[in-house]
Amino acid sequence: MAETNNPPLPMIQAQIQIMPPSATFWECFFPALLAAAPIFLDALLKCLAKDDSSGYRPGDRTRCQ
Amino acid sequence: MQTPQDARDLADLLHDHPTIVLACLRHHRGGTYILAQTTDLPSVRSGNLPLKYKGLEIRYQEGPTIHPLILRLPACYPLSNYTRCQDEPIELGCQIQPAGANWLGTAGAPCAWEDPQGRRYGFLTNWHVAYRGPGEDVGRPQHQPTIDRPAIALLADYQRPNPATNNLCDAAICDALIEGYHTISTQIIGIGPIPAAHADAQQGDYATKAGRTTGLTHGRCTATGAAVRVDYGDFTAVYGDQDVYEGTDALFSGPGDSGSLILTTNRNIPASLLFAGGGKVTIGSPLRHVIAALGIDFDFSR
Repeated sequence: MAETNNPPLPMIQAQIQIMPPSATFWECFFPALLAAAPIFLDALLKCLAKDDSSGYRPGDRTRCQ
Repeated sequence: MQTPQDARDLADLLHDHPTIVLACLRHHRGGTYILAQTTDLPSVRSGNLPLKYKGLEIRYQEGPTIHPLILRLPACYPLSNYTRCQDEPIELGCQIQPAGANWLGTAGAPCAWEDPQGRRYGFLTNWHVAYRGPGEDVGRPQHQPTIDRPAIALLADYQRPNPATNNLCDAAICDALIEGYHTISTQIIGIGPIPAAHADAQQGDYATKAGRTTGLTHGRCTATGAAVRVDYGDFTAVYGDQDVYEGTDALFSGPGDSGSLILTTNRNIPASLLFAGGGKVTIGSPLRHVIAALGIDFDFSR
């Protein structure tokens, strides 16, 4: 069996740098709120439409025509 | 004042003597006696019916057989606010027909109750209106005014009569939640909303009811604590501790009015569930028995 000469693995040197803040809190808050809005509205509508009999809800359907 | 033991004794009298259809206590200066109605008055003269019971004198009158007050079909009837089709929310005191039934009755009063799924809203009627029939059970659709229109409720629970014992009510409740909304209003036609409280009727009280056949009628409570034999056709059942009503200017009820709520007008408060009648008399079960059997209330604010 032929011998192969594998090159040595390169040394990985990770450098962790703490970046200085590039935006203020409020600059991040509103885009985040907008991004979450569809999820929030979807959950709200599902909760409102839930058939949990938790109150008397008179219907207004037409049934005599 | 009549005691529960008096009510049981009167019911036992009816169990012992099948031709007695109604019995109640009457008080006068000389004491107390039993007023009994029989379909066979000659039996009194021939000595086949007792003249005393538990030490009390029995005075007899001729009386008609007492039946549950459904209207059997086919039948001709006038169109009225009580028999017409209603859009939602449907006011009660209206005509209903259970799926597969050849009779009509009344959805008498809005009511509420608790079950494992939470608080439920629906209407009160009788077992023999909403349930009766082979193979039927909880979930049976109830249509208004007839089976030609969509169901407005599903049978949820009932108290059925037992021919072998003393009964206290013939009652059923139907859940009006259809596709996420309640089909019914909390009002009764001609009466309006009802108070959340209820009370026992007293002899002499003025009363009113709204039912599909005779509509809004007025009467008086002529007896409480009465024992009544009701002929269901294929069996008879004896009821104890019942309220008896008679109309003041016309009949208080007619066939089809079964299921109506009777309110005393002195205090304008629900008192009895109408379920039977014969001749001039109408029989109602005190609401305390219906409430004990089915756990209902009349509070729609929760």
